Amino acid sequence: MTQHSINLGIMLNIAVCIKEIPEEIRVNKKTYTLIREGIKGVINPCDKNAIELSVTLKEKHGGKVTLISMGPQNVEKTLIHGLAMGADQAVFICDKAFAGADTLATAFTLVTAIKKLGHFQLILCGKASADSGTQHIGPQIANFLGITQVTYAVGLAVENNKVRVKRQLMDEYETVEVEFPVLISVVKGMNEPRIPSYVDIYEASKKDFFRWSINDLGLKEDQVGLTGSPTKISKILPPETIRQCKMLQGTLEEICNDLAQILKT
Amino acid sequence: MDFSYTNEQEILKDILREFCDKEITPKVAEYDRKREFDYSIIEKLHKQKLLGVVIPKEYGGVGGSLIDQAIICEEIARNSFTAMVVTNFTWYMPYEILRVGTEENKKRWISYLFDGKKLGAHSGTEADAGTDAASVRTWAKLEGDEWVINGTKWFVSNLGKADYYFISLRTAEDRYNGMSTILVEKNTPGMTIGRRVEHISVRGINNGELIFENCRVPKENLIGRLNKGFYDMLVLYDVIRLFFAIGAVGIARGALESSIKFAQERQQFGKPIGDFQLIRAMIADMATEIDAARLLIYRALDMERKGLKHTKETCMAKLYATEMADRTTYKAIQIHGGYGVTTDFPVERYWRDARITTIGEGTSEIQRLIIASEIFKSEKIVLDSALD
Amino acid sequence: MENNNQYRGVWVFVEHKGSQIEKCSLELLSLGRNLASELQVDLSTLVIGNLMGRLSEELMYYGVDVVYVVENPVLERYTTSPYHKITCDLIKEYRPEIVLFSSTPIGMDLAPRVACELKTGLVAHCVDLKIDKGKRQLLQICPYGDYMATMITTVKPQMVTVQPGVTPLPPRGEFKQGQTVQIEREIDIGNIKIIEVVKPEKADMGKIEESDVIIAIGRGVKNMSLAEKLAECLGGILGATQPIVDAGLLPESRMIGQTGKAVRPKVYIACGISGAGQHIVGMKNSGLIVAINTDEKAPIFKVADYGIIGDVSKVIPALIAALNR
Repeated sequence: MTQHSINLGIMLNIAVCIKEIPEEIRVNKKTYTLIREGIKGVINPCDKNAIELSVTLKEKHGGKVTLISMGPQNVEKTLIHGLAMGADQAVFICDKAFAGADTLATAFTLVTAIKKLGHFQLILCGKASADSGTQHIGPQIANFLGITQVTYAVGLAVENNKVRVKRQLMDEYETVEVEFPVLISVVKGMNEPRIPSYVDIYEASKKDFFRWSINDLGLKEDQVGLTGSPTKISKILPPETIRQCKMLQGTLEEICNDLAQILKT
Repeated sequence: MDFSYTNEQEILKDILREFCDKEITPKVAEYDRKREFDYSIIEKLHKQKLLGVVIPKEYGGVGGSLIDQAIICEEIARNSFTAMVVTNFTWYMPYEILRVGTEENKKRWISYLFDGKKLGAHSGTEADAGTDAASVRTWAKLEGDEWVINGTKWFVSNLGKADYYFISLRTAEDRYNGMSTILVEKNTPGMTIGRRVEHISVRGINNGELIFENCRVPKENLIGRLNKGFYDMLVLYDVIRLFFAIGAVGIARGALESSIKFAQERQQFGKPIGDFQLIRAMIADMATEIDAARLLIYRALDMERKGLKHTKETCMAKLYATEMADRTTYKAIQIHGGYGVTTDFPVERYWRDARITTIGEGTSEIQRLIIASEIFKSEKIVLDSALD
Repeated sequence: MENNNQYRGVWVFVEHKGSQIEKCSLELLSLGRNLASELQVDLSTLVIGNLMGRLSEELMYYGVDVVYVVENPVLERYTTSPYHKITCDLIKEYRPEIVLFSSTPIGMDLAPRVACELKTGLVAHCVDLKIDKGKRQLLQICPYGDYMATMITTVKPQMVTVQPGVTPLPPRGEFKQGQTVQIEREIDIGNIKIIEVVKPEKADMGKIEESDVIIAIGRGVKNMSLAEKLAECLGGILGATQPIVDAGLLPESRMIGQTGKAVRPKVYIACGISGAGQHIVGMKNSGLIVAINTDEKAPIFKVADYGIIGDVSKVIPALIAALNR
């Protein structure tokens, strides 16, 4: 498929960028680094909504869904889970050189993989990751690709070669219409991600699964990972205690009378 | 030998947790409080193709592995032992036929019973026949093309909810060579539901008395070999016990996870109680014993997969896992302190449910006797030597 | 990136409705003013829109030295493409060393894309900004799990988004004449078309940050209607932690914390909230904080003024009774 021949009646080629996050965010009390060991990895919640959306669109319009994820060795499971939900193939980007990447370096690496895969009409991702919560990756991928972005999607329909997206903003909903290709970041709760069946899990293992290293992507070490990242962590500190809490004592009635007095003043 | 789960098995655990969090966990306390299970779970599990994955494809199953089946049972039991026990009755009997049934049985019954809806029940116990399973007095006599059943069964799980019952009964006077298993479908005239019994474990499960008065069923309802039901039952127990045992592991894991969370959050003397060595020791013992139990179960399942005899290994796994669950849930309540005995926390339920595991599907005592007789390689029938 | 020393000045991207400056942008002006003074550089603002009236004059009541204005009818409402193009062009042209955005739907749509275009870093949801004077480096402080991280950006400009609600609103000060720079641009609106904008029927959506009293509920609350009654009694509004919103008990617009909103009401009553770091970020600047929790060691008490150890379902009815007395 070339850059110019987008024929929607036939196929929707969709890429979904997903991230595995630790189930619990725990910080080592001595080194103040995130503890990864022994904590289970799960699909970032709103990325699951993005996968669900891609599969629903594929079921309705036909097409192909490719999952892309970057991370340490153990995220394979997360990608297979996505395949079990109905995606067609998965690309797993893994290399020691990618460690310590900030959002810019991550987006750059993902985009390199996206370009290597070919042309997509739709690129989906979750609004934010639940561990770092930056919301950066979507707009940055769109910028690297030079395509339109639509963030905060809560609803989406494809009609007449165009995409209509309902966005959830602070105190209003905005509906926009865009042309392909477009990157869309989705809000958690936009749909109910399906739970794959037992059979789906084993079918997923038979689907195409690619592992790409820094060499496969043709990148140099100074473009990626910590060295390719303009933001760095300088230090991490525990939150400070900011108030002296007075515990109200006495019977329930006394306590509530005291509090009522405080609230009234 | 490989001791790690595959990616597929890790995902299986994840989706089960997702499923349980959505469909089971919110209702667990209600099962116990209202003494009523939510049977709609069965249909939902069937939709996910998670019921009886060990049933082969040719009989309408998916032909999954025994370890996968164990993972499913453990995860469900981790949320609700009640749910595991009930839902396992959708495939126990089809699996039983697969293991000990005749070719006619398999053709006639497996796909029919294993349809993702039907719930079975197994009935061996009578007022005077429990651990001594060969002493049942319920009789079935062949009259023409029909079996005529008379007698009263006790402790029948899924009572009144099951679509069919597998009844262990007497078809001849000989103690060990006079027992058979007969299938009775619900609403068969002559079979009535008796008194329901209250219990502290698995409170959501209907359990009680099943009464037969000249109950007539077709001849084809005989499952397995005529008068060899006792031996069939021994074979079957080798498998069913393992799934009961993995349920105990599930309970214990639930208790451990709740305890870890509580120990990290609950503060006394200015620090989380999880920082105190006595609590840490309990957590360490619980975690170690849970893993040990699971490994014993997996070993026996591996022998089942290879077609090896695993009576001793199964009894060891059942004995250890269930007594472990009893110890672990006791410690979990201890860690939770006063909160542990309240219904605000799940550990009191884990403890109550653990209690039945050392009794159901063969008491700990009988497991020990069988293990010992296997060790001493008695020439006699296992149970006889055990009881001598 | 060629020479970081060529970058000078602090910029604030201003969000506004017509001539009205949004609260979140006023907060940025307060932060920006301090940074600019410390660095001894100008505080500049970028305003993009249509029919902005006396907006640039108004900004000068908040210590803004330079206002860059891009005004055009097609810029009436925010869309990514033209706003992104303008912002990038002007930053490339004027080379500020620091650019501040708000963590709002507009800021979070625009800032990452701008940072990407400029090949610089972006630190999200900052709660405080400081200057390392020796290195002339911006210290960007943001939540990191239950902890606080200090981030730095090694290239210029140093860009951040700031969590709205955590910085005090600056007072409207003396008018100080600054410079207004009108910028004329060819505008390409891109291939995006706004079809409609709907305000949800629930008119209260989004108002939580404006309420004087917030009754916030966490996992320890089993009965929502009790909390509602208390809110009614105190003329307040219900807020919630993430688990409550995830469970669908309250809409996302009511979520307080790092991934939700930061609030600073006069009175904040935390009911059955243990006080995870990500929640505390969103409420610790409230006036009076009262915490009700069964666990005396819950972290919420560390940020509360008054604490009650008890079950919410018993305390609230008693409190309502006491309030009605």
